[in-house]
Amino acid sequence: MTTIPHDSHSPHGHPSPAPERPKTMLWQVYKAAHHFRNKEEEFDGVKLGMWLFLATEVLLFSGLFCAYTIFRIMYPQAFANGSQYLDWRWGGLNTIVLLISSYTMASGIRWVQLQEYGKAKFNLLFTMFCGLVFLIIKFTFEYTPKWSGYFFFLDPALKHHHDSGKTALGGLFHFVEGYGGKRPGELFSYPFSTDPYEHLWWSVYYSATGIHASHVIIGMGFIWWVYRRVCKGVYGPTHYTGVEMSGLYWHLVDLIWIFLFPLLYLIH
Amino acid sequence: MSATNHHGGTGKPEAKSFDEADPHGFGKGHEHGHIIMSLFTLRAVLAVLLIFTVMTVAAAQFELWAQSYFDIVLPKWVNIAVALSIATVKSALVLLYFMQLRYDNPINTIVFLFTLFAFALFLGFTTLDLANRGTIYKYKSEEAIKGGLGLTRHTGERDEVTGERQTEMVVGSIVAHARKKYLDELATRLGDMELAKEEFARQEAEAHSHGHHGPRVVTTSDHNHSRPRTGLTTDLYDAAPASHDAHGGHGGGAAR
Repeated sequence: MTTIPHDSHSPHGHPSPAPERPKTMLWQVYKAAHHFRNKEEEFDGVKLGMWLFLATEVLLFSGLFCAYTIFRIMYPQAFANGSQYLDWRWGGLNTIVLLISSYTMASGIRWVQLQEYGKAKFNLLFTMFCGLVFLIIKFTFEYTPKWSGYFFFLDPALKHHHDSGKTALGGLFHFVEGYGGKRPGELFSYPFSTDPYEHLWWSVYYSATGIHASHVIIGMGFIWWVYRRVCKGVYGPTHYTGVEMSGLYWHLVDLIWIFLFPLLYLIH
Repeated sequence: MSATNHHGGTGKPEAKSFDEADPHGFGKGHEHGHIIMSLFTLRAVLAVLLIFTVMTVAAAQFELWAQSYFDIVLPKWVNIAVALSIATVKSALVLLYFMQLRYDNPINTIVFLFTLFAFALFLGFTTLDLANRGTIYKYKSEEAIKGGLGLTRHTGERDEVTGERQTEMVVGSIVAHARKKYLDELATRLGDMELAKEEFARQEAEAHSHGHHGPRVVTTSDHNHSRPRTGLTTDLYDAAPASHDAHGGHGGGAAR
């Protein structure tokens, strides 16, 4: 975006206590793209563009919510049963993790605006850490056992089951017979279902949470990119467009989960 | 709207110079301020969001508890209405404060509300005829197979010589097929059908009994309430709902 040369350290690291020339940071010399009148107008334009993009994201998920509504009305028993296989404690923990990450994202923007870069960087890193925790919970404790029957050896649910003795990845995962196979559609092979439409529930579950999880991954990518740019001094009080936009994306991911959590985990 | 959001271009015709590139003078004014959220607001919003998360879980647990211990059955819509109301309040907080729509240019709110309107259209028109679909499909309900095509399904294996994907016949629903296939697999492994049925019953009891979600509700569903029915039920694959006790035995559900 900017091509302003930037000397990050003054004449070769001599620790002389000479009065330091105030360092010019990239955000101070940032100029709006030539088709905007000024930085404010650019910020507003970019933000409107971001909201239009978020609108398409909402519409993407609205298709899934439509499918959810229709199938739940048609096969309420399959949805009631299917939801019972999910543990609300994992879902609830993930909800809390995402809410906290939304808070740290919002305060990350605040600290950039106030030039508190240490705090800003900590908050951005913490947001990414929360995203990672979310994904680890989702994949290790939810997707893997349900799909394949393999439980992570630290999974508290493992003690409720009869361990078959079969392990994978050097004992990290323990196989429980007759637990896996809760898969979508034709891939379904769980033997103990009691409603003939339960594979449909799993189709909706995996599409909705899978697309959401991919958004968490992409959001983490954006925040990493922004974090690197904060380190380079690109953002400050008068220019923080990138931080604001990745924040909006991250909050939308949170927003979707706020609806997915009760609709998937808390129904009966 | 916050006090910092005033439009610079309204009612201030600075006549001394006309800028052709900026005829309305938008470039001069600060269109709307960059909002710096106070830490108190951010933390208060987070606290309320967490409280509402606990509330939505508590409401769902309360319903199950009231059903299991006191047989108080709340209508089905209560579950959905409570969950969605709380989710709506939570998402409004995220939109207004974390995403700053409250302080923002109203055009962004309009974009978002229009999206919700489009979503309402999708949902409304696709569910409009749902109540009548049973009537439409009734005439062929005799041939329909619940929850499946009654055709073939890929096994996930390939032919060693030709490399073609292997298929198997699915008789009845995919769910019933999975059940029967697993029982056959156990029989092959244990060498005896009776042993296999015992092992199947043991695993099924384990699958449905471990104490994840509190006591099971054993009452069957009616048209007003969908009860979780993951216990040992045998009569699911019968054409007509049987009236006998749901706990009357195990095994052979698909075979009947």
